[in-house]
Amino acid sequence: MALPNKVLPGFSASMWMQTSSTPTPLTVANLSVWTAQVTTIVGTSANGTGGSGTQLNVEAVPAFGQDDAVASFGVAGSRQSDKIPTQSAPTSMTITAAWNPSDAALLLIRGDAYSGVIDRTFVVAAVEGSNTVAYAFNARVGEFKIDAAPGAEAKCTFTIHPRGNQYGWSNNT
Amino acid sequence: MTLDEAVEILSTTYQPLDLIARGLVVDPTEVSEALANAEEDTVEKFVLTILAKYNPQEITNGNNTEQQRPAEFSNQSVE
Repeated sequence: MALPNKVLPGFSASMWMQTSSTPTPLTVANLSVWTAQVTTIVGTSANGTGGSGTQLNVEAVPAFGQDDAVASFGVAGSRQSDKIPTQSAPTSMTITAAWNPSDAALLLIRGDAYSGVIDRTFVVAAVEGSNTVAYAFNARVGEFKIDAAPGAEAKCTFTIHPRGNQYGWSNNT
Repeated sequence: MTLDEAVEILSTTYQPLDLIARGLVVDPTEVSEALANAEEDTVEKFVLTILAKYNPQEITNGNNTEQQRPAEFSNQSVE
């Protein structure tokens, strides 16, 4: 996949998602291609074209990547064991956002959560000036909760579960 | 399998690309030439790079035959 081609000191991260209630996610190869692929999901504020994407207004972009999973075994009489990396899952991203019943992106997320089987392409864009480095992945939405407790602003919490092996890096240069 | 078929398969799959590419046997010379002519930041270029990893071009240098891979894979071994 295309590696990030530069360091972006002081970048800001934003999160983008495909629109449409029945999206066709990018293929694995296209997740690593900025031109005409990832750029269509990323909006102009992050140097994309945004024709088929919208921003997901989240409190913070959570950690993403790969979980840890190891097997270990011991030999009688030996104190130490190797940890053997085994098939691990992509990290699930639990996200909190201000709940706005009119926000088109949150409504799509809610619909995905009700369905559970809608694959959608998401993009985390790191932007500094005119430079963007994008991490694109396909995912489904699991949890979706609305917390409307009267003592605070209503918020929603949802969890995005990336599909295994379906991710790619790209950049806009 | 033709190169076009292999590129089509890799471009449209949702499966792990390295896993699929291992099973796609194509002409290494054809891959090398296509890679040299491919445009940057296109899906063709991206999948051709993966195909070249598993279909390295052989170079006959006197009595020695070497396998040439794209520079980005020069320090990796084919699994």
